[in-house]
Amino acid sequence: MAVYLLHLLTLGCILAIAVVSLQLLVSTTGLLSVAHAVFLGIGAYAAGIGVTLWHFTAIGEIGLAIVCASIISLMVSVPSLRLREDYFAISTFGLQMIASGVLLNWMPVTNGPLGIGGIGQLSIGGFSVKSSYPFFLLVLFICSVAVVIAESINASRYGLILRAIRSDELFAQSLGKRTLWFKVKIVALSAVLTSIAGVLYAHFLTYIDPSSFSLMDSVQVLSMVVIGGTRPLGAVAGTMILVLLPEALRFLGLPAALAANIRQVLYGVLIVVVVAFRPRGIFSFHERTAA
Amino acid sequence: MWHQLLINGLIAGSALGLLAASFAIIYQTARFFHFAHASIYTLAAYLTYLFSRTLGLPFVVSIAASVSLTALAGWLLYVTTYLPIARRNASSTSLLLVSLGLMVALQNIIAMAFGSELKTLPYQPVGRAISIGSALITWVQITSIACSLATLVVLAALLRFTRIGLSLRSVADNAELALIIGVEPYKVTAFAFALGSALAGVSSVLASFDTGLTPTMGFNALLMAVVAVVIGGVGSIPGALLGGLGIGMIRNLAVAAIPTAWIDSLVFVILIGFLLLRPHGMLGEAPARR
Repeated sequence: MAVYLLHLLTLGCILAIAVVSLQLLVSTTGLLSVAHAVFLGIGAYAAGIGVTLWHFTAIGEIGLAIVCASIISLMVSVPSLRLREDYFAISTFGLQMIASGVLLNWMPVTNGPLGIGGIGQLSIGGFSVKSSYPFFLLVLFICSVAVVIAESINASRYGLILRAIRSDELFAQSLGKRTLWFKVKIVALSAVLTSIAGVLYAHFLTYIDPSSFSLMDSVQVLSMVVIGGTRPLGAVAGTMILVLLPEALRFLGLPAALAANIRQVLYGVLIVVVVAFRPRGIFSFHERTAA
Repeated sequence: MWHQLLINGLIAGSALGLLAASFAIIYQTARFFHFAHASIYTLAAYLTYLFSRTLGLPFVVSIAASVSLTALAGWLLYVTTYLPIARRNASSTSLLLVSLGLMVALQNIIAMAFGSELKTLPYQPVGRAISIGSALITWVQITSIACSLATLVVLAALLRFTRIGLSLRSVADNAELALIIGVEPYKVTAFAFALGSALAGVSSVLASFDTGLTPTMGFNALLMAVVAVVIGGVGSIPGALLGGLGIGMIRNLAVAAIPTAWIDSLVFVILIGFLLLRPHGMLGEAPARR
């Protein structure tokens, strides 16, 4: 039981890093990404490929993840952020579909649907994180760092400018702010933080395949943000709720296939209910877009 | 071979154009991306399956019943879910989020009710074929194109010549002004949801003859339709049709050039290209740039 709980908590903390990063993006800019599982996947594949092919250590893996995640985030953010905010969601949809296609079909690099196995432990400067308890502490530490980063950006001048852009972009531009550049930076930061969670994810599972980084996983991250609300610690709480709650289904003895569906229905319904009944707690951008 | 690819493109394109137009009608009045349209599309196919295969009703009756029920379902989604949330002055982003939640929930409910495996309608899609040039086309495919075209003609007439069509266009043009002259935007939007859902239902039934039914069929089709709407020009119904036809053509012609597994990726590369170079699409009105 203790092992099982430790497993869930570790998984929860890894996901929470991704959720905190998406929450940072949503709360400062109001932009919705339906592709955060892709950035998780970029980190995971950077780790998987880095370790199995080139015997990278943690620094190399994280470096590779950061480079790939920021380049790909630019490919999405630069074209769409010049347009109305809905287009960002559409482009991330596009990214999600392209990424799923690439992971499944680019056999020489991603090994397609078979995935990458035998990823093993994370090694940092000659030490490898062997057992699951130290690994949990490491994940918990990185998760706390993510929360601190998010909180300090929220409180910073940069966070203030982003919120100003969200409420009136034209006005922010009139004050001489290069609004596109500010938004592109926060998208990249969010993507990079998520890809670091992906590196941890690969070492946690030691086996990765495209099915863990699908659209449904992106929606799952998004629903955790919605449940969690506008503060980083809320996002962590939202993640833990949505990681632990479906585990209760396991004890009802449902068939596995049905349980997966019920879990998805739960995520979907929770999104609708929270937006309908607790909108101010969840999103603070409730001014109507000019109709 | 080119003839065959062109004809396949035309078939896929006309069904996709219909779905894209149905999505555009809803977007024009509601002003948010209604992703749960994917589940409405899937629902129509499964209702037809239920009526024809499980209950054994005659074919035309099952299609008519499922298209009407689909229209009702779309109307209900708007009236019971979107409208109360929109009335609290929610942004289009929160409505998009709600539509995503609805899409995921409904898709999985359909999967639980009918199972995730591929199903087919009780009908022989193979049948006799006629040849045009070097290409073969079956009567089912001809009927399918004819149905799409007929539906679009009816739709155009409805929008052009009827009172409700006029109200719909006025709300799409300027909702506040429409309110001033006594058109109630909420009622018109509810009608647009019913109409759009019915059209999606027709498109879905036509497509399910060809490719069968799975719970994710709506999602895959809608993604293509959204791309069609964006490259055609958001807010333009002819644009959506043209976009749908274009995407259908490209997907089929690309078969000759690249492995089929990469075609979906190609479509989204085209989407990103349009967002970058021509964000208002082929026939869109004002650029959405700000």
